[in-house]
Amino acid sequence: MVIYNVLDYSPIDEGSDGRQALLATTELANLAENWATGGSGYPNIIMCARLPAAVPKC
Amino acid sequence: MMHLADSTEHIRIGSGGVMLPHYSPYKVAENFRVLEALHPNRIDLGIGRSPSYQLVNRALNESKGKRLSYEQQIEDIRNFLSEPADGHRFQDLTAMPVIETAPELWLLGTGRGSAEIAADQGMSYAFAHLGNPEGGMDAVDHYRKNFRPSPLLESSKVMIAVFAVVAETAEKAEALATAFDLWLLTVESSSPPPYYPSVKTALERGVSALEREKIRHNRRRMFIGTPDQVAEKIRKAAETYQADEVTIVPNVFGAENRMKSITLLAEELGIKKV
Repeated sequence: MVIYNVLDYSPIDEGSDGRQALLATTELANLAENWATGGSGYPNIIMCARLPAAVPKC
Repeated sequence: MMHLADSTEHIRIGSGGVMLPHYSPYKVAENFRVLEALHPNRIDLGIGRSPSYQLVNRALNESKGKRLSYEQQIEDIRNFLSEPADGHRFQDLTAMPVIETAPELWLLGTGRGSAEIAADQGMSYAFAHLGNPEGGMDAVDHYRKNFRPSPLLESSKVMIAVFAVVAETAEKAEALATAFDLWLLTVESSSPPPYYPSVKTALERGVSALEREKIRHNRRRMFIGTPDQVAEKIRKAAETYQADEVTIVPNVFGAENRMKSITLLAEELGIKKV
């Protein structure tokens, strides 16, 4: 069985800001957490990355 | 990462990744041991070696003298995390806190060089299909054939990472891909972009002939389309590489679009029950 992960760069969208970007990553993690506890049996990983200078380091 | 780990209970949280040449292996080992101590068996340490933008590289490293080799850095971090009985050049130094478990160690790479290191050091290997699909099979094959078990990993483990642009319709996915194209052009230029451009900005800006050619090339790095179309491409890639894990990067404009994108895909792949 393949394990699926999600990598979120916390990109700062045009018209948004860094705080919103980080909160969006947290929201995505909570989404995956719900899937993980929803009986699907699939572990999920949120991986956050530091894009060079573009986003805060997770 | 600590915030994400604190906000969840079951999923694993990892770095994708820590660009190790900029940092001290000892310090990185301690940081990840703190994460692992508070969230045992839920932490992954992904390591890479992107030099980053020139100014970033300078800001992070201008005060440093002699630099360790990447291989030595990785060996050090592996030893700090696994505490072997001998052979550790910092045998008398312990990365704190002392804990029973260790984060899973992944080496991120785009080709044969990183695959060789991951195999030699007994680490899991994450191939960035999203960075450079060419040579991927060669790298992964080499890794599997040459893998040497380590105190942290008994057998080889392969992950592939893919860009996915998913929407309810092919038209919307293509529109999101237009903004993605522009983002990729700027993020891989000489200076970092201030933000991720909207679809509107991307369409209004347009692209030069040179950029169009680059975009055509970049499109080979991403899976674009409706959930069923993209899921099929992901399944096929996983099968081709015989991957144990797939990392999906739903890197489209707008938090709502990203959320929607990954939810649609999760339903299609059976991760999320509909």
